[in-house]
Amino acid sequence: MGDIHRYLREYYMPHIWCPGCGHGIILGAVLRAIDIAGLDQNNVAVISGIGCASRATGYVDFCTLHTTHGRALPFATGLKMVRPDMKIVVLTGDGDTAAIGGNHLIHAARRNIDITTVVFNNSVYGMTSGQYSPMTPTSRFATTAPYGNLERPFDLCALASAAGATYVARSTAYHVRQLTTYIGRGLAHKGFSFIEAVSQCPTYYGRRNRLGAAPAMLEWQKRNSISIEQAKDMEPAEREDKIVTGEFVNQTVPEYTEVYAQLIGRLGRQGESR
Amino acid sequence: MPEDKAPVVVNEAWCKGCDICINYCPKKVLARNAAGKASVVKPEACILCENCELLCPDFAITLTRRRAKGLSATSTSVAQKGGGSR
Repeated sequence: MGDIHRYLREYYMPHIWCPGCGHGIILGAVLRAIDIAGLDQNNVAVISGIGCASRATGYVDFCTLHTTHGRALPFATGLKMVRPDMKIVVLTGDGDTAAIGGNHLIHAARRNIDITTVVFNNSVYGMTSGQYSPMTPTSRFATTAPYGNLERPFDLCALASAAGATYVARSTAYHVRQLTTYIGRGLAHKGFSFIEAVSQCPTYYGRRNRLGAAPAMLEWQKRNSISIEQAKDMEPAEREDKIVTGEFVNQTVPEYTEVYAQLIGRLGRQGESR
Repeated sequence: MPEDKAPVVVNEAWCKGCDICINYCPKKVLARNAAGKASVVKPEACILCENCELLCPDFAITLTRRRAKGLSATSTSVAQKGGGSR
């Protein structure tokens, strides 16, 4: 494993994330996965939307696009269409992906376009001071849920799977080695890869829910994580509040830019024969 | 790098004092210093498990030596491979 500092724009460090924020751990996993994959740094594009997680693009030394809220995937789709040779990585948060960008997520998954998406899920809108997001568990507290969240969160991996993503996995900041493995497999996978990385927000989510400081929140991730195999034998009530980690989908389906290139090739040949 | 030098280097300028590395070091190599940052107090005890480096959210910890074989970022979890639980 090489030194990942060569992938950082060190002149922008230290980064803006709070002490103990899981996002730095997850970004480290992304950089290690890219390093292990041996990708050409100049042929990788990292694209993000808006939010704490999306600040990641500022710190990494690849081709980067820091776009508008929820729209990382449309920008990534556009780039992939004109530069199918590039490795496209989307780094995004739970608010960015599951709320304002939810529609883009399902359609990118449906098309099976070759983009690796890593969702930094800290269950809250951290940048704007801790409002609840579509990923805040029921009855947990947030700035805008002072009596506990009434809504149910998405199972984001189930959503991505149902929408047609061809590689889907979930891990946590605590399980950083497993997370790195899944991101690596997502990078190697041809098609839409979706990796949910459970993160910790000690500043807003942790404090509001009395989960303690960052080390205690990592312990919480450890204690509450179960594998897909373990989850199979559990009642729905037992699974509540648990993080199910593992690989949910890994299948081969025609990839969108390849299918598109085939169409262009076919039409080109038809034009020549006329 | 001579073997007697600390294999763990903390970049204090980037460290935000979150204590994650201190908590997940199985050998108590790291401790909080007067500035509230992580610092190496027992370099000789380090077993090169990489927990501190992998779990540092601030890219502030670097190992200067690695195990020839065994641990890497692609082995499974911190708990399983690094003995990282307290």
